[in-house]
Amino acid sequence: MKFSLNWVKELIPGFEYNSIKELNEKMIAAGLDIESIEFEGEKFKNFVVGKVVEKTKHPDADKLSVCKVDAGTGNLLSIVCGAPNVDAGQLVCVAKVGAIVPNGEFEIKKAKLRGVLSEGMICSAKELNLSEDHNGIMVLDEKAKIGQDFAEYIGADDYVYEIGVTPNRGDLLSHIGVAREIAAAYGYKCELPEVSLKEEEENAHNYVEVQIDNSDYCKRFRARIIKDVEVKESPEWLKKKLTAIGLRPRNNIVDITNYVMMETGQPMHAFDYDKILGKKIIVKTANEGDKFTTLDSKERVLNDKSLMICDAERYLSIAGIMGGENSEITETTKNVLLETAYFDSVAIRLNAKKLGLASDASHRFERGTDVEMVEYASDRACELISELGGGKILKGCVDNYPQAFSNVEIELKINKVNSFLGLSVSKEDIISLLAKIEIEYLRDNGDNLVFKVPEFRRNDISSEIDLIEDIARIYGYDNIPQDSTFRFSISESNYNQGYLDFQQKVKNYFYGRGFNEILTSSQQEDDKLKIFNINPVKIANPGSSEMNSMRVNLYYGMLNVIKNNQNHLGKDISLKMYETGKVFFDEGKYFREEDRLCIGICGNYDLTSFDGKERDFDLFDLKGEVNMFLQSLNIQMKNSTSFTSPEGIKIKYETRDNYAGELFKVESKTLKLLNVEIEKPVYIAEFNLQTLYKAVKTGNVYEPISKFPPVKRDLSFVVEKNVVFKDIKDIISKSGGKLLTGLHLFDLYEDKKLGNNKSLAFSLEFSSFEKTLTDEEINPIISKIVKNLEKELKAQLRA
Amino acid sequence: MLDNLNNINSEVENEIKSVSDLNGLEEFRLKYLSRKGVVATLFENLKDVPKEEKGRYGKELNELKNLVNNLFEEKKNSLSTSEEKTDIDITLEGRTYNEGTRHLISKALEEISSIFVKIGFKVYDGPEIEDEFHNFDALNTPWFHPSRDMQDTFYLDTKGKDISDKSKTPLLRTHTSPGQVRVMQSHKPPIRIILPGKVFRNEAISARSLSQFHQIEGLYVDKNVTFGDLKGTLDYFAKQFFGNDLKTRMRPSFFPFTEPSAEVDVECFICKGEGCRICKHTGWVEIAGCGMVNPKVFENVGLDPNEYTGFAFGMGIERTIMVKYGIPDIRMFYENDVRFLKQF
Repeated sequence: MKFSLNWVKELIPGFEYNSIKELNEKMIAAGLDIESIEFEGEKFKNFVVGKVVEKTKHPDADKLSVCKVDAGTGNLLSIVCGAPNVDAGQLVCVAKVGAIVPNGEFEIKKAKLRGVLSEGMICSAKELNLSEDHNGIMVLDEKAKIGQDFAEYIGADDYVYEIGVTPNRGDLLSHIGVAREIAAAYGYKCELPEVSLKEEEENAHNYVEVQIDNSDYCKRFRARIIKDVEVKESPEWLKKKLTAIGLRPRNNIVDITNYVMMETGQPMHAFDYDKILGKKIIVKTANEGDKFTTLDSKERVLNDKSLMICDAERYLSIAGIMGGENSEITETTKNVLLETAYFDSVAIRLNAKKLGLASDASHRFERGTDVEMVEYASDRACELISELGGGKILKGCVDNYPQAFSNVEIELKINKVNSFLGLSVSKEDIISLLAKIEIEYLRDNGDNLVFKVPEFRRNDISSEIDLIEDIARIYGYDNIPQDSTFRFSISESNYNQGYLDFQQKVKNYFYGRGFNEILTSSQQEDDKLKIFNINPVKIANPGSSEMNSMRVNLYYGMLNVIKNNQNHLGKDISLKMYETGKVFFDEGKYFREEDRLCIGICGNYDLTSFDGKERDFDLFDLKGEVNMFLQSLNIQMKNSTSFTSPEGIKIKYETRDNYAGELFKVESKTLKLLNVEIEKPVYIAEFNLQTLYKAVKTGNVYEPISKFPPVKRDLSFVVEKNVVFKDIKDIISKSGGKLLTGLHLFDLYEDKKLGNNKSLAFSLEFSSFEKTLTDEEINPIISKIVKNLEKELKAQLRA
Repeated sequence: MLDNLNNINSEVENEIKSVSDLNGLEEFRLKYLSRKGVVATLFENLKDVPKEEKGRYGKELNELKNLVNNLFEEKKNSLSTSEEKTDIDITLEGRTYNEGTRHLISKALEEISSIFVKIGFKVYDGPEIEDEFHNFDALNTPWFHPSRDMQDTFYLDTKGKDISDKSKTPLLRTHTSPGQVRVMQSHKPPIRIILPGKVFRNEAISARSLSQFHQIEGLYVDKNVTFGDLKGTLDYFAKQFFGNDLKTRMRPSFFPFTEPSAEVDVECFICKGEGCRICKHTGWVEIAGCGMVNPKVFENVGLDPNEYTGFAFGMGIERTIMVKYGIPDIRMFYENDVRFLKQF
């Protein structure tokens, strides 16, 4: 909502304030959410009053003159001017170097015009956006002083505020509403301009009858008739007031309805009386599917909840939202019917939403207007119409108000105020605080105070807590003492703390391992998700087709991140990433969420060193990471087996109870289907976090450590290529028995000489709790290992 | 005899100076400190010294022995360090792996949570797919209320599902507040929770807004919780998170689920309240919305508003972080450019 400070000041008689800064602080403390402030004079920065001291003809151009201008700068400015009416002795508006001309928004610079230096511009009213007159420069009257800021000269001292208004405070959508708050903050009273109507003898009731068919939606409708108006342009003061707050002037009648709405918050509509058939206004809901053309010349399809203002035969206006083309005010309008009404806020809101149509009027009705303002606003507008449009106001008004609103009275307990806010205010304090915002103390009812809520706050204040809020607001949030004792009262519930801590541990683990945590969108394109063969959760009203489904895994999002990074940094960049987050499944009867962890690597192995060799990440880098992670967090896997999925070969991890996740290289086929282009191989592991958490082994018990040093032996075997490591390892472990306490593969070698074979070198570690083992004890074990490998896998010991 | 010792003293000192490598040092050691070396021989000769000189001679001899030992050790140390120096170019870069990072948003959520955990809050994580009741109705935001327009909601395709009860209409949560409802429905006060998480709103994507972002919110319900407690708690938070010397202020505002409601501003942490580009020359930065739990909410979740009071607060993480770190575009958080990630 935009308001003009000068306009607000008119509504607070005698109002004075120290500074804009102070005023702003008070407004903020009162809850006026200032979004922007525009100083009217800002656009006239570097525009000053100057006097044309001398005018000579331009030596090289017939239509130009060269002026010497005294603009109070100490020296005379040389300004080339093209206006025919410029003359020595005139007081003019000078745009100095650096000024931005409002019309066209160009900057004045020092320049040579046909060889003559010009140090500014003498302005026309049009260039200053003050009128359409471009016949010549604007000549100022003798009030102007040389060197004076032009803004000051024309009285451009207004501030225009844009404030955010929350849905409960519809009363702030008017100048009087803002004035009430400012007046309360400074201890003033605000007043609407007094209205004294000159009514004709002729009675309005002879001209129109108002019938309300739907009194749930329309609670009051007041019509006044003004005859013999002259529809014309509004006077300057009115146009200026409207343009200042961003409204476009149209004609005096429409401008007045807008003006009074902005002043009082009461929307109103002026009909061309002669277009109303049958001297009758009927307020009723439309027939579903009927069509109606609003005054923006658009055809609207109505529904059976659309409240309409009608005459005896047809629709005239969509109540509270927008008037119709068939009865709008035009230059030929002679007689006017002025509507001020009170419509139900929900009815207007739902209709506006359904029609996809919003207006300044609907914005106000939706938030609730003031039923008492219906009278004042109507009279005020009539008075202005007769003043500015020469109309004659018919006697009386046709005011259909079927059920007068009863007062809103609310009871308040003093101790509740104090215990809720942490204050100690008295009854008198409360009464005087609320009186500032026109909430009137009525009486005591036992321990309770009874207050009357002003009509303009009916939609906001309906219970004790609403009064407490206003007490806090007027008392000042900043004045309420702060309590930092943090009284502990510990809840017995632990919610899901252990699991949440586990999630943090996981995140910190991978961060420590040199992975970059990423966050990707949970919304993806359902077309792409097809290849995963999972029913995604679809969004009924997606923002775009690329975001019409919820993700079913984390790794698709990660692939896009990898792609984008490679596009920026080249294909060799080392990428190690992880994400935790929710994925979603449509399980037919219900939706299911699952917490996931995804880790991925792609590009160059990330060791940066002066002596290292470059290589790409491979599957075993990620497999190692996963194993270290599982070990470090004490997560017990029952199994990790490989299997072939439609997306290629994968390693599947299972805990005792559940499927935990999988690790795989992303096949190029998959990348193609997903339309993600990545040059280097990508390795991904994705896990269900809940499952991992459930598999965490707790309650570790100390395991004894041998006092005797282990003995190491290296063994190297040649086997056929198709023999897998795991089989060899299993045989060695089994044959090694209890004394074999360590085993790892330290070399894997294939070459032409070995033909269809490969060589594997193992490092074995033997130890005992009783003593340091000797050759005599170890050699027989080694022999057994060699023998078993030979027997079962045809493995040959290498010399 | 004593003169002889003095000669040996100066001899030793000269000789050690000429030692320039480990071989020379070994020669030195053999000559003076070995079993048949000069020092040992002198000690052997001690028995031949006349009785009255024995005391003084012995003392001087011990001093000589110490001197030789010290000179030897000193030389040994200097030789060994200088030798390492000549072998290695220690200006070479150390071996490094990829630098791991936490995502700025996730880190902030954790940081903020832990600030509240210190004063007795517990973390709660609710579902992202919610329903009308938890997301709106229970929070005093009925379907016809204009405050629904404050949050544009993503609804889900319910093909094949029985949603005859309108309050069960599934949607993506528009704020983390439905988690509050779940906790209040299932737990007795005292309740002191902090709820971080992802939320969704159907908004046009721009540098300032996305259709998903993160919030963190807190709830405290107990007997006798006051507005003063709320102020104290948020002031504590702002000082911990933004800086100890910064003031906070509260501006009256409106949320359907709290009353009184407020917006919380903290003095601009860039200009300390002087006014700068970051705070749009106001000296203040908006960080949170908050208020006392509306009694209607208590009624909706089955708590007695005459017995309990409480406060709630919530903040959008992206906006706050953008201001704190001067990040110009909200989309950068989700592009995950490693050059961006590694800055924080």
